[in-house]
Amino acid sequence: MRRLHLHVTPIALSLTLAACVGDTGGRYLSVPISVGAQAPGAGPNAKGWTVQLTRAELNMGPLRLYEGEPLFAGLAEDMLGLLFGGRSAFAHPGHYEEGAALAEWLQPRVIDLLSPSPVLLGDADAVTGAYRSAQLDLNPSPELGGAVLVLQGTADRDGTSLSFSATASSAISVQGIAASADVQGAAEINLTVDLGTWVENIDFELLGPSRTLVPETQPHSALMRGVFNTSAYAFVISTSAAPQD
Amino acid sequence: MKHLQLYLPLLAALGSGCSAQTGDLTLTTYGEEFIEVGMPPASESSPEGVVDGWSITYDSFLIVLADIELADEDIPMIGDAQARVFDMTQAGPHQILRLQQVPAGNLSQVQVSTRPAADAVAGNATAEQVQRMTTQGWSVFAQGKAERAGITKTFAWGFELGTRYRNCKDADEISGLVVPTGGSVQAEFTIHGDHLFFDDLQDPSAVMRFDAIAAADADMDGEVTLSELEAVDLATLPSDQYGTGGDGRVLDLAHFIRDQTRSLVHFAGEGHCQAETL
Repeated sequence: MRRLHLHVTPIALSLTLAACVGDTGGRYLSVPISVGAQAPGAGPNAKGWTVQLTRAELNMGPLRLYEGEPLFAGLAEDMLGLLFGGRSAFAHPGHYEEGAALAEWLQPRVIDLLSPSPVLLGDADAVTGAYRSAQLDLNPSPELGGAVLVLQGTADRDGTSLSFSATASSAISVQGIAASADVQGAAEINLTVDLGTWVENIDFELLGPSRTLVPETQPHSALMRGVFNTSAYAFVISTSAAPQD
Repeated sequence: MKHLQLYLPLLAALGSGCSAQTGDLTLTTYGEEFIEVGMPPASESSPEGVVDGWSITYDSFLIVLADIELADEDIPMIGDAQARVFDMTQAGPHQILRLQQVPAGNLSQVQVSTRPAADAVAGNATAEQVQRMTTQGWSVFAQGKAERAGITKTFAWGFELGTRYRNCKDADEISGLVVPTGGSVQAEFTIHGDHLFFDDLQDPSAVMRFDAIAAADADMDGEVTLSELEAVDLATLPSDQYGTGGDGRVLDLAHFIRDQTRSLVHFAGEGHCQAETL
């Protein structure tokens, strides 16, 4: 079930992964994970606002990859499809089932998504197998004043320029992210966060005078829907044909 | 009957040569009480009911079932491409197809499609219902009403989205079905009509609700249309409702409900298939 993992201890998770090794017959691997981001595009979002971010930080992790097919391949796979000729629209109706965990990285870390180059998170504990989906957990961090993520920037439309700030304070679990690769040996995992998807449907005209995105208003709700949108996360798993020693 | 005609010679050949290794197969469809009777408000006795107190009933729930295929590594594909229209509000189960003397054994790959079909014929639907589906180009049509505290909202929604449901498994995760030698087996495509009112596209803990749909009746004429639902930005709804998972193209209530039509067909009750948008 979806939210159980939020409350599972690292020890239990390691046991889970160990159990899955027994289930799948996979071999242990140590897989580096890096994270980068794509800034919002120069064009307007769906509400006509052009968004520039001056701060984008989030407390990332734990991160896990599973054998279960994602419910929606979504934009991330569409983007890869444009590059590699794939197609989207695989779905398991109504019920995403993650299946066995194949890789996990358990140490939450605050990431600057505006960093000019991808940030190396560390090495995930992993096993060989058919990777199909991922789950990304975001939890409150003291480094972010107790928030899960912090966004700041400006939004421009028709000569109007608004500065804004936003935070999310509750834990977030983004599940069923497409992440497909058959890992048989050495591998690397790169995650790209599409910040444009996060802000795509925010109507900044509905911001209050504080210029802060207030929960249960359209701007904040649209941001949260963007954060929960698995299309905002593109995994590229590079594999080596040669088995890892 | 194109595919059926294609496959019958194969079946006859198989049957005449090794009759002891064949069996009979019947495929049915069933709409459960949620479609046939209705969806009650959630209560202690109906915990899976509509959480915001509405009672929802279907007057008509039409679905086009087509492209049935069954196969296994060792058994050639059998099936029937013919599109058939079923009115799931009628008491089921309803027979879709009966095949005799099919090769006995495990048919692990089972699939069916819902799609618009200009050449669809009646499953159990009336000629008028079939004509409605074929001329409108719908795969699913849902008509009914929701009631709460003396307020009634009606709806009549047609959806054109096509979906292929493949690799169907039962609730125990067993793929397909087994045709017994010299015997018969019956398998069911179960239609989950409650899914149209689920408040999440992905979360298995989604619940049925109707408040946001009722509130979409902008002209207050008592009928909630798809155009009115299209005007509802999901971001204006409570953030814990109408989650879209990874389908970022779903931005309004009409497209949300339209997307739910991709989850209507299940196998043998609560079993699942993998759904591909056509």
